[in-house]
Amino acid sequence: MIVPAIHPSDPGDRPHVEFRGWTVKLRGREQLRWVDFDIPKGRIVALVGPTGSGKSALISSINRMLALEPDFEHSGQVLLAGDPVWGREVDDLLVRRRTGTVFRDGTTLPGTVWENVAFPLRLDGERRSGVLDAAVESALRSVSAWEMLRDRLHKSAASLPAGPRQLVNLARAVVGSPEILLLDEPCGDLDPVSTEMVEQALVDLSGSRTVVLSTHNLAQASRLPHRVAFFLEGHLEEYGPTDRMFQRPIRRSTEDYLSGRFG
Amino acid sequence: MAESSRRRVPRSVRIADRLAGLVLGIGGSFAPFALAAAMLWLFWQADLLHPLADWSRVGGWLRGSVSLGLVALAGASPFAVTGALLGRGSDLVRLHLRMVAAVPLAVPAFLLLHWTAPWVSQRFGLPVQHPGWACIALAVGMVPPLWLILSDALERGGGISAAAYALGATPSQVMRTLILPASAPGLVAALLRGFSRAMGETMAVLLVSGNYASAWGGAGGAATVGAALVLDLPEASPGGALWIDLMRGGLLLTVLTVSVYAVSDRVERRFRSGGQP
Amino acid sequence: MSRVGRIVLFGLLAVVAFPAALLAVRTVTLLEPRTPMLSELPGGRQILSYPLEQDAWESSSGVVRHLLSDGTVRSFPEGSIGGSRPCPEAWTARSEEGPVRIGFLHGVVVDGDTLRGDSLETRLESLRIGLREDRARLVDEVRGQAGAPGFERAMQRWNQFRRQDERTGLLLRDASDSVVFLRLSSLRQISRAPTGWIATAETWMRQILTVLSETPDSWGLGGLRQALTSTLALILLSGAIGGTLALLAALLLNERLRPGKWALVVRRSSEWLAAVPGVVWGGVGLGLLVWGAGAQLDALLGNGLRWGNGGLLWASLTLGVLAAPISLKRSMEALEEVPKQWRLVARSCGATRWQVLRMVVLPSAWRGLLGAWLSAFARAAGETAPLMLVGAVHSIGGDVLETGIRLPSLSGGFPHLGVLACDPPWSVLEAELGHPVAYLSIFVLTLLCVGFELTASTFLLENRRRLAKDVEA
Repeated sequence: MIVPAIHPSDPGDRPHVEFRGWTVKLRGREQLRWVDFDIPKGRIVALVGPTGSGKSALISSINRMLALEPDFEHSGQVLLAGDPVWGREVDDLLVRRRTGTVFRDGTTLPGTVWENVAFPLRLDGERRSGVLDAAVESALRSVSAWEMLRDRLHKSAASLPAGPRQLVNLARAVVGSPEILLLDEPCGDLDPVSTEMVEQALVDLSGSRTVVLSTHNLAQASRLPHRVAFFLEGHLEEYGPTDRMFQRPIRRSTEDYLSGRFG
Repeated sequence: MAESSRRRVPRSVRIADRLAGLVLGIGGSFAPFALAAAMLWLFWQADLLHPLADWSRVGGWLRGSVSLGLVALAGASPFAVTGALLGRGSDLVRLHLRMVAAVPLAVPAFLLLHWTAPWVSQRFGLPVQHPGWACIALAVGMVPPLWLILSDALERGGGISAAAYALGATPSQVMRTLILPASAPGLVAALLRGFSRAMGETMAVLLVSGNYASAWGGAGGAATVGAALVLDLPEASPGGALWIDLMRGGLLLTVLTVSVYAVSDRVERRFRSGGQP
Repeated sequence: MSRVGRIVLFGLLAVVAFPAALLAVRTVTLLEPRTPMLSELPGGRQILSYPLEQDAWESSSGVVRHLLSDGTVRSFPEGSIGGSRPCPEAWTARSEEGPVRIGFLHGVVVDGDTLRGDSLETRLESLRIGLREDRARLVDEVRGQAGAPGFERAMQRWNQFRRQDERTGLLLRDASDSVVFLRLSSLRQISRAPTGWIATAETWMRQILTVLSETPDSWGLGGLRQALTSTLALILLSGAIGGTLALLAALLLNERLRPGKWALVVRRSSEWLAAVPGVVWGGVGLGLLVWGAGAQLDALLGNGLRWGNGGLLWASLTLGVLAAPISLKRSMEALEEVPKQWRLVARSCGATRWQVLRMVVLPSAWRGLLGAWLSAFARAAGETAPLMLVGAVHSIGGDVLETGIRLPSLSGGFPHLGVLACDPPWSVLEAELGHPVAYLSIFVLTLLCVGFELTASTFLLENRRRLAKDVEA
């Protein structure tokens, strides 16, 4: 495996997601251009970069949500634990079950908190309420929201404040024990207190799970992840351990962005 | 590489999705297909190149439909526009209108025929079967649907007027300088839509102008395309001259109403996308 | 809004509701129970009659018209009738076999014996109802046993009933003392003018219900039952066809197909076809379904002309296609009110499109979809013109013997409330009475339209309100 100098990876890490010359065109516009890097297993990786730099497209490439876009072309390959994500014979449903996704705007599914968290399991036809109750409880516990939400399990999820709502989404993402968590600016619309709540939950649940997190919040990017990938105009500019990226960036653009000079 | 946590997708989930796709694919394409087939059939029957055409007869019917539609629109629009401008944004008004607009257009015609026309004809000597009655019936009947369409078109723009009120504008100023100019395309679209509907209305004409609206269509001819279709089609033999003429009338009326509707649709779409401040 | 604006708005709202209100008032007043009048003619002769409405045509020529006790209508020069007084003790009898009769109760004949006395009136109604029920039962029995071994026995019982029936009736005496015998079992209604407002209101109500629930009589009065059942059957059939097809199309376009050029073309053109006039659909239905498919079907089956005529099936298909575009448009609007993000979240969990539909879209938008589905019923109810081409018959038709509600057959012509009101086959008497049945018929149709539309738009509005609340929260 050839790793260019500007995105080094620790030789000890096993790759979990591998991008190989990954290029995406959406409605005629190039969203990602020749992205080629690995996301190591069991680590938190932050994707940073200005709006429109391709962070969301990258996340949607891992869970195949890009396939739902009407006008979409791609080349290259994405491998999830060695299995190709793109291709004719790939099963969307399986890929999405192996990934857990949280979107930026904190939209929950219609219905109660319980229904939201249990949703992925009910997709597989699980109807036993004992099993579902236990799964909901353990998912909410793993995002440290059980104490807060146990009395509101059967209230509408949409009526919760933004922070707890995003915790419900997080619980929904982890309830099916996915091997990787994809968080597209999970704190984008949250105030600092709620952000703290979600971050704490993330730290608690990540453990040995791989997490891909896109964010605008540079403080968050310096706090949480093991690795940071900086994207600019669909191109991976620089990728490396968080400390090095913030303290000794190689590229000028990376330094400018991460030090808050633009973006 | 096998993950212990990896879930399997149950077969039944896939089968249900395929099945639903099949049912929706077949059932869902049925309606568009039936509509398209019916229109194609009409076009084919109208046989536009057939030499047996009596274009003057078809033209007479079409003229009747168009002029009736115009007169009805002219009669109805002042009331509808005033009402729509005054009653903007009220849910009660809207509910009232929805109810009234659901009343068949034949009702005003029926009442005119049985109640007003005899009385007026006795007082002022206007014949009961005068084509003017059809115009009045249609105009009266068109007010509620037109008003409803108009008030749908005027639904937006609440924000600017609230801002204008906040700046101390009077209601009439707001109306003149903000609402009217901002909603003019919507008004035009709604009026076109009303015109499209009035052109195709049949029962009101048929009821009031009787079974032979000779006063309009000339010697023994029906007044409008709709009336002609109802009265003459059962007697026409398929493929004959009358049949072809009637089909032509139907086709041209359809083209007319649909294209007016399509234009109004475009105007409204543009208004919706571009009219937002 | 300024005060003037408010007044103008209320005025306009009242004006647009005026036709419907007028229709309601006229319908109800025309069915008002009337009191017969006892009047003097110039020669000293007395007549028992109902003075008829002053129609504009006649009143200008200075005549008044009366419905006489023998059921005929006569014109009298104005002023020639003097000494009129209401005569609430006179009875009015509506028979299946003859005109309306007005007269004093002279006696009741039961199986040949003439009864007189005070308790007659109370016994009269129960006797009449009992006889009519017996008759309906026996007729059904004879019909049911046709060709079966029990037929002889049934016919015997029927003949026995007939013999007794011939000799059971009512003696009505008119103002000139001539007496007429009316077979009791043939009487649809025998009543006196009600006194007191409670009795009047009750009679009034009953009169309206009677006209709605009865089959028509040979005199051309009353009897919207057939028209009502077949109109309802038509609305339900065509609404179900059109609404369901539109719903499936909307689900296909919005939930199944990827948003692309073709979906947009199909969607737009289906919406635009809502503008095609109803009567054009009628013409297409006549040519394509009745004379096309129907004739082919007849040739195939070889049972003579059956499907090649206008009928309920072809009419419902025509109305169904006609109603589909509006329902499609409203279904699409209801589906678009469901936030796209919900679908994305569900898909990201690994849901199939069907699961998204079943677990997310339908539970949150079912009200809107139901409303859109019901819109097809409202549209089908409001359209009359195409029916005149594809199978509505211009007669009230009907089962005079009133044995059970008969649903119209799918291949047969059917009476329709709208067509009846607009092109009535009613008798002269109906016209003389001011078209009460035609008024009632179009009024009921209007109620159906408004009812369906109101239900539909209530569901649609509720859907919008709830979804807006869900998204906002």
